[in-house]
Amino acid sequence: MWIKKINRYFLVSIGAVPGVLLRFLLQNDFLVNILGAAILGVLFALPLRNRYQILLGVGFCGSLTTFSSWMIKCISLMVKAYFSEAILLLLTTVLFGLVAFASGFFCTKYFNSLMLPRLRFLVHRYWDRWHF
Amino acid sequence: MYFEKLVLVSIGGVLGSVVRLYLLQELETFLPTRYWRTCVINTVASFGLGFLVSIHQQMQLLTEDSSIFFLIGVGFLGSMSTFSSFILEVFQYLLNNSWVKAILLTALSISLGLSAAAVGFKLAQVNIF
Repeated sequence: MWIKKINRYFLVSIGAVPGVLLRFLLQNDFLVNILGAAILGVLFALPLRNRYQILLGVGFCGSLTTFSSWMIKCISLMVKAYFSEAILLLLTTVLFGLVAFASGFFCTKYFNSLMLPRLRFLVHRYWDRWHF
Repeated sequence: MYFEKLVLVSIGGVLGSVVRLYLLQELETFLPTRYWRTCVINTVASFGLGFLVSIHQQMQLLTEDSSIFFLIGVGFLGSMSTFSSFILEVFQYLLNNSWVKAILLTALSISLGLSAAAVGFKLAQVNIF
């Protein structure tokens, strides 16, 4: 159905606006990437409905975090011959991103059993399923 | 002026995320593995941002106006490329105990993104006339 596809794009664009504005206001790619990874870790642990996954996961977190600015920053560091700083930036972003994602994921998994009965209206029938 | 920048960035961000969702759905026919799609999208966006940064540097000699950079660079390409889905895929590989694939995905997407950004940066400096 075409109306369902339109609905998906509408949801994504609704979620994208606050993400982009937050990234523009913070002006710090490292901080924004870590924050987005932590939020996506929390969302990944919750068995959300498909529409909330698209709204918050693809829309908000996807436009809050950025890969290309990180690459450009590393390239500009390499052009100025700061090779060790560029490699340090790459490694720390990947490492801290993974740690933030894992901490969000496991903390939410831990609290799921306590909080999930109260969030029943958000929960998908098919649990532990993450669509893109 | 600041409000104009906010509007430009949000328009670009909406377009970028819509294009990302469209590409995620369309790449399903070529890459049914579900893990390597954001790598492709990030590479394309890095190429575009490298190209745009070089164009922007050359345009700064002529005009002070940088609204095109906020629309396309910060908004469109910044929201088309995503770090969180990349981390999600690496984490899913790690949860499945496939360490080699996780390291391969990380190394390949970083090296592809760096080389695409460098190629885009150099390609915009070529004099075609």
